Amino acid sequence: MTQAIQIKTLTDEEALIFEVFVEAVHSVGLDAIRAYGFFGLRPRNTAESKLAA
Amino acid sequence: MDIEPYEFIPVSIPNGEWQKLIEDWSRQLEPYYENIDDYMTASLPVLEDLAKEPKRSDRGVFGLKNNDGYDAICKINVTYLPGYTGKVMRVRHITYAPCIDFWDPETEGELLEYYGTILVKMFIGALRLREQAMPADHLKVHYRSPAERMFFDKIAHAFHEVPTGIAVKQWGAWVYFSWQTEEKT
Repeated sequence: MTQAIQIKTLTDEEALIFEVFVEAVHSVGLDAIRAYGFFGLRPRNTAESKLAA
Repeated sequence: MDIEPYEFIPVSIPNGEWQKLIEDWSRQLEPYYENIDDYMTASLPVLEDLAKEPKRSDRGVFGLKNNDGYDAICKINVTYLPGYTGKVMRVRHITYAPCIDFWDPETEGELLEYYGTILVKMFIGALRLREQAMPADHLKVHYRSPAERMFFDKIAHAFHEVPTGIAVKQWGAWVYFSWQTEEKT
């Protein structure tokens, strides 16, 4: 039976992975992420058009 | 390393978490006059079908839960696949909360930080799941856009540079993280 996993601290390896992921997101940049849609984020104009509506 | 505590939990209709998520996300969509039925229509219906199932040890919907609700959810399963030694964990349909999708454009700089943190929290949740409840020798993450490919190009490069002990490769629309020397051929 799969239970909830509570995460409060990271191992050294996980901390390294954390750093690598966040750096990679910054490196790709929000414009590219928004332009293509990226892991659930829709292209920028969809959200902005809703805000303007 | 201490981080802001969070939970990576099963989200299903039988355990009541799916209903809480839909209620939370519907509330977030109200200011934008959008209905939950029209939100992320490529993923939410797939996740809902899986959420209807009684609890299983090999698959389920998992969510990143904070104090107020859910930041993101995804589908995870483990199975044997041709070409692999050991089980493979697959992460698909990563879906972010409406408050992230509709983030105020005036503060998009903060969004990048928040977004990246949620993505890695999901990944670490999957790593813990792999260690604790759904053992697997490989972890695959599915991506669907050129931006995701660009992102994992950078991830793969970084993993080659640092001593994590995890091999990273990309095939088609998937990125593979492997803890064994035997890899897909």
